[in-house]
Amino acid sequence: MRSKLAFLILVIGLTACGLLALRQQRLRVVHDLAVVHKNMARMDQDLLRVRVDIAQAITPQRVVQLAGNLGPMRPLGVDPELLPARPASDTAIVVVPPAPEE
Amino acid sequence: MFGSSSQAGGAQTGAQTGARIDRLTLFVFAGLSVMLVILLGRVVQLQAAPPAPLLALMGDRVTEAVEPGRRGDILDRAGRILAASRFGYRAFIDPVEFAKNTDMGTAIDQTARALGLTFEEVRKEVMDRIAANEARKWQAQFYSPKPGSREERSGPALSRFLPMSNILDDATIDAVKRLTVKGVHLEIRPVREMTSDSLVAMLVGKVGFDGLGLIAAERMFEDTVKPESGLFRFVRDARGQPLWVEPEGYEPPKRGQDVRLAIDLELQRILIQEMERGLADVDAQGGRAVLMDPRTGEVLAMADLIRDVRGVVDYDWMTIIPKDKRGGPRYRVIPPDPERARHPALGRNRCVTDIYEPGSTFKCFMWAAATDLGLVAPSDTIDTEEGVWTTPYGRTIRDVVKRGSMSWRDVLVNSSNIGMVKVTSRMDAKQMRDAVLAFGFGSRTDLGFKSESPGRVTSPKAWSKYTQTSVAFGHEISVTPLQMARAFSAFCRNADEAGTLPDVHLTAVESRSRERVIRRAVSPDTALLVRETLRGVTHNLDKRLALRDPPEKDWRYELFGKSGTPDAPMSDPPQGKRRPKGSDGYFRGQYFPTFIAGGPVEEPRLVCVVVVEDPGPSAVEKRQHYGAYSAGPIVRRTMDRALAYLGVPASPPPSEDQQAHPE
Repeated sequence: MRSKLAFLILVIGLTACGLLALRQQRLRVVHDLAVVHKNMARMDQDLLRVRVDIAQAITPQRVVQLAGNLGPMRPLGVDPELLPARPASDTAIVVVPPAPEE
Repeated sequence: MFGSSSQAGGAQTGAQTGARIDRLTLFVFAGLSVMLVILLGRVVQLQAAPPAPLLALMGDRVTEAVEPGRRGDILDRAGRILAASRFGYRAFIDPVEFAKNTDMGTAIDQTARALGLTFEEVRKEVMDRIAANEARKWQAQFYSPKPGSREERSGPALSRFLPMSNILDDATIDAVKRLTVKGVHLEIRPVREMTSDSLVAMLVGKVGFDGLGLIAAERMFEDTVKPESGLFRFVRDARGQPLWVEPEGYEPPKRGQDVRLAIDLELQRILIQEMERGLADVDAQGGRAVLMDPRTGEVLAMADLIRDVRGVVDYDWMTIIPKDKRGGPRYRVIPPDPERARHPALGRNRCVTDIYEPGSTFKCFMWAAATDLGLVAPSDTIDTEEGVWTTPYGRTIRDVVKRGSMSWRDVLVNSSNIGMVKVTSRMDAKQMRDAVLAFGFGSRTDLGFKSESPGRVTSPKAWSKYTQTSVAFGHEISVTPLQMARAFSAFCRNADEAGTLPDVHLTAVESRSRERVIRRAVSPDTALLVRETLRGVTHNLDKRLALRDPPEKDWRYELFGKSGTPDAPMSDPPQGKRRPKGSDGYFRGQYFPTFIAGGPVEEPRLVCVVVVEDPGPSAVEKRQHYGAYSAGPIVRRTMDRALAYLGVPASPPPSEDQQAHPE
């Protein structure tokens, strides 16, 4: 009888410990979730800041300033030395380079 | 025998020991069981009916953190960000916690260093607040709080929040985080950043520290861009770290919607750049300009510049300025705007708030009205009296271009005051006033600015012969640059819409509604006739620019427009002052030259109006202060660059006939 009682108390104790461990585990998970959530919020804030920084760095005013720092510029593709001789007609000639031999 | 008795004794001892162990085990198990029952009872008690001190403590263990939502962005028409929100930190002190620091002097010193403040600044703020808290505690001893109130549960309400800074930079944030002082914390705050402050501040506006729009677009579209804050409710541990979040403990914040303005940042840059150049060329006190799409009424760019000019004096509101003023003081013609000095966004947007007399630029509207009423035909010859004429009621009218006669078309191109007065005198007062109102003058454009001026149109009761004459050449009427751009759009629109006014928009027009109220000013034929006639004015402008050194020519687009050079008007007198008797309300010898144009002439895409405020004495001396010389080049350069940016095909070269007879 006593052994049965002892066994019963032991089982109840172990079950209680198990339940406590599970509860602790659940607490830990939700704690981690809360921490992750806070981190996400912080990263979102960093992202917003970077977004504003990018927007400030690419305004037309800033782009013109940066282009000015590069020195005089000319439009692409109008350098006469780089262009093939203009054909008599207005038909466009597309020069396709030969495929490299394998 | 001995052996058996010895065995019996051993068995007895063993049995006794076993019995003792059994009893001990039973006792231990009984004790454990009792303890478990007690523990269970305590848990039930704590959960069901916790004691009052613990209840207060439990309540404080739940933290409710408000998660601020993000305000919607304000974008330009191409989607570029004009204003966006980010989050920043500011420091605050909890005086109750701060008072727990053992060495108060060191705590204040460290806090001051971290925040970049002086010791005395921090000391005064903190010690005052701590003293106030102590006083409240002392007072609380003498009265009993209401039952069930928070004061009953957790004592007297003490000050726990003392803001110590504005938004901090990264280095200061790090310094505050490294502090080991009790009671110094960081608080998250939304920060509104403008990407192109100098270009669009007055259009985008500003947001206050409470996160609400104060002025301009930020205020106009407050309901759209306004966010909703979220709530993050969590149970924290002894160190204040989040322990867990209840399932219903998180309500995510809702961000505000974006607003896309009609403004184009690149067009705004072009307009301001050309304005700065043009105003510096004639040393003007300031200038205003509006660039509008006449098809949709979208305001694409708007500039309002005030220059710091040397030698300008404030008018004393006593001196009567003679009509033939030469030399003498150069008066400040732009009313002061102290708010602008605080922040460009807080100043008046003078393109919609400040009125001016349009002068000769107004003639195109009166010309159109008289033609539309059938009172005159473009080819009719008008006697312009060699440039000087006295009206039947005795008022002398003078022309800059002095000719004996000219066609009705040339009256507009040469800006003849006499021709305009003679023909518009065929209209009765009602017809003329109705024509003025039909072009939208005297009524707000409803762009959204609360301080927008409707302009000034003389009332029917006060409308006299003098008014009839003055309005014919743009006097005795006051307008805003925005009203002028809207009215001129009537000449820029095509097909059935020619001669009608567009609704003015500050936001980008996504799709044009088919069912809309049409405000017709003149018939389509008349509108196209005005457009064709005004080509002559811009031909003259182009000729003048080609004669400059260095010459400016080879324009890509053909424009049509009108210039004007009205006198600079006096603003309303400041409080306690009156305009002196005998003063006619103008700063004589100082001008507001203006030019308005649309283009390209074959299918107008833009309207540009520029008002130059008071070209310097040097420009006046060289007679370079006229609208075509000072405001005209700004319009010409802006339109050519703006149309090219919009990808509008260049105007076809003028035909031989047009080259031979441009007017």
